[in-house]
Amino acid sequence: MGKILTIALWELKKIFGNWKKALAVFLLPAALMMAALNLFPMLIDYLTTGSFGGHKILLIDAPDSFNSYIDSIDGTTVYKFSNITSKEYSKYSDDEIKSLLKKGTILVDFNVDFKPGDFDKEVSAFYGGLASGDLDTSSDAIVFIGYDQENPGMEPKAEQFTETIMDPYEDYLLENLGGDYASQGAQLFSVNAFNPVNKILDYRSVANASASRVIPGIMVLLMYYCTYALASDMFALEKERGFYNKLILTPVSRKNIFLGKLFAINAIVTISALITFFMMFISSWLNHSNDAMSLLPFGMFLTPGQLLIVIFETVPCAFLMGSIAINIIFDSNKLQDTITFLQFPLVLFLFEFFIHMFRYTRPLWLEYVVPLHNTLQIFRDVFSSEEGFVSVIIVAAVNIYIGFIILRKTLRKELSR
Amino acid sequence: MIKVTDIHKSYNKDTETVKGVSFEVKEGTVFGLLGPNGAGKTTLMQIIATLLKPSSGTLEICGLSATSEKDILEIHKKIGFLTTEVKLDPLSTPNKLYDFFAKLYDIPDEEIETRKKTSFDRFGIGPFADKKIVELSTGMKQKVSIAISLIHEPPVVIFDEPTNGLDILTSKQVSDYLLELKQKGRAIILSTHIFSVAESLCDDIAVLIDGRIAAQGSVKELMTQTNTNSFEDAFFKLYVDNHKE
Repeated sequence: MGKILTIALWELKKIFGNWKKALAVFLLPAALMMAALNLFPMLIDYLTTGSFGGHKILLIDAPDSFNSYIDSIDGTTVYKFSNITSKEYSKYSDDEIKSLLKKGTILVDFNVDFKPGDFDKEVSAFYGGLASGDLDTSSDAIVFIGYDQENPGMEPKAEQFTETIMDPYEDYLLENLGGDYASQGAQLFSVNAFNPVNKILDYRSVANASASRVIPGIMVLLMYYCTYALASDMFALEKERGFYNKLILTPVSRKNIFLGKLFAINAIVTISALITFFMMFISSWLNHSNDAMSLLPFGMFLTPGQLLIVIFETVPCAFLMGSIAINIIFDSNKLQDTITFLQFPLVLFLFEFFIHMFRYTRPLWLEYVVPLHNTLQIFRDVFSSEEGFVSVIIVAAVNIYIGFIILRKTLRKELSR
Repeated sequence: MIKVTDIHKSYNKDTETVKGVSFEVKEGTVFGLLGPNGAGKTTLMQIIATLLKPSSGTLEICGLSATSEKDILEIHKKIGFLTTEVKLDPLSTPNKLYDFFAKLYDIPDEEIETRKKTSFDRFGIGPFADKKIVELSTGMKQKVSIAISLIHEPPVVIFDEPTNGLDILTSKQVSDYLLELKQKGRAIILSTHIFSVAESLCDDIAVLIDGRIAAQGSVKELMTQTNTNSFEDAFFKLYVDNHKE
C-alpha cells in the first residue's frame, strides 16, 4: 500500500507542481464546456433565425399600461421592444412579415375583439364589471402572440415570453386598472407569488429537467477527456520515454505501479468532475436571462444526498475509464496508434452525449448494467430525482467489476511480455 | 553472478531476435556485448534486466531465477539497469527524482541524503540538483540517470550503450565510473558498439551477430581466434563470416 501511495503522490505532485498541466486538467475542460453551453442558445438562434439572439419583440398598438409596465421592469429583461401601430403594420407585405418572423421576432398584437381598439379601456371596463358584482361580464381584450411556427426553437421562446412578461403583466393590469376590484384583494389569492421556496422549486424542476439531459453526458465526456489526458501522460508518454521501464525495474510490482497511477488518475478525474459540476451549478445560477433555449436554465439544484450519489458514482466510473485507457495503451505499440485508439471512446462519449440530449425516455433496466453508459443514466436519474438505491449500487458494482477484469487482463498481458 | 543459458526470444513465428545465447558473468568483471545494429543486443540486455521474458532458456541473477515471478522483485533489488533510451521526466529535478526512486527502493530516510550527496558529488550533479531535467545537458542527464539507476548500490550493473551520444569528457567519466564499480566487485554487463570502450573496459566480450554469439573471449582471444592483428579487424572478420543476408 505504501508503494502505491508513493507512486500516486508522485503523479499528483507532477500535476499540481505544474500550473499549466493543472489548469489543463482541472479548469480548461469545465470552462470550455461552460462557454459551449452558453454559446449553444446563440448558435441555435443563428442557425434558425440567421441572427445571434436579440429577443426582438414587435409590439403592435401597445397600450399605455404595457409601455409603463415595460418601463417598470426595464433592465431586468433581455427583450428588445419596438412599437408600431396597426396602421403601420398593415403596410407590411406578407413576405416582410414572414421575413420578420423567420429572423426570430415575436409579434405581440394588442387588440379588442380582433380589431384595433382601446385595450386599456376594455380591461378597465372588465374589472369594473367584476367589481360591481356582474359575474357574467366578459372582456374582448386580446393579446395575440405571433411567432414562426416552422422554427422549433421559437415555440419555447414564445412560451417563455408569455410566462416571464405577459403573466406578470396580467398582475400589473389588475393592480393598475383593476380599480375597486383590485382593492377588494383579488391578488391575495395568488400563493406562489409571495412564497420564495415555491418559486425556487419551480425553477429547480425546470432547470433540473434540462440539466438531466445535458450534464450527465458532459460529465462522462469530460471525465473521459481527463482520463485520456492523464493516462497518455502517465503511461503512454512514460512508456515512449522509457521512464516506465525504469519504474518497473524497481522492487515495486507492476500491479502496484498500475494501481498507484490509477489511484492518481482516479483522484484527479474525480476532483475535475466535481469542479465541472460546480461550474455547471454556477453557470445555471448566473443564467439570469434564462433564455428559452438555455441548456442549463436558472435554478439547478441537487440535495446533499443526490450530490453524494454523484460523487459515489464518479469514482468507479473514473476507475473503469482508467482501466480501459491503460488497456488501450498497453495493447498498442506505437505512441501514434495509442493516441488514435484512445480517441475512439472519446468519440463514442460525444455521440452518446448528443443522443442523450435529445432522449426523453427513462432508461431501461438493462442500461444500468452497461459499463460507463450506466453512469450517464444514473446521473440522469439523480437530476430527474428518480434515483433508486438498487440502481446506484448496481452501477457502481458493475463499473468496479469490469474495471478490475480489464486491469487484470492488461496486467497479465504486460507480465507475459 | 549472472548465468544466461540458451536464451531465445522471438516476437512472432517468423522472426527470432535472440538465438540460443549462453554466457556467465562473474563478480568484479565486465562482460561486453558487441554487435552491429539489429544484432539483438538491446533485446538481450532487456531480457537480462527482466524487462522482457525470454521465449525459452534460463536466466539466473545472484542465484535467483529471473523466469520465476516470485523472484523478480528480489532480482530488481540486485540489478541496476541503464540505457540511453530512458528519458527522465523533463519537468522534474534530479533532487526530486532521486528522492522518489530512493523511496521505491526502500532506502531509509536518514540514508537518502548521504547517498545522494556522495552520488551527486561523484558526478558533479550538485549545482544542477534543483534544475529541471529539460534544462540539463545530455551528459548531465546521463549522469543523473546513472545516479538514479545505481541508487540502491546493486551487485549487478547492466549498461546498454552508456556512452552513446555523450561528449568525450562525459564518456571518460562514465568509463572511469564503470572501472570503479568493477573494482568494488560488481558484475557488469556492457553493451556497446564502440571498440575502444569494449577494449579498455571488458574482461570478456561476446560478439553478437544476427542474434547469435559468433565468438566469445578476451580481446586477445578474439584476435587469435580470427587470426587478425586488431580488435576491429577481428570484429569485421567475425561479421563477414557469420552475417547472413
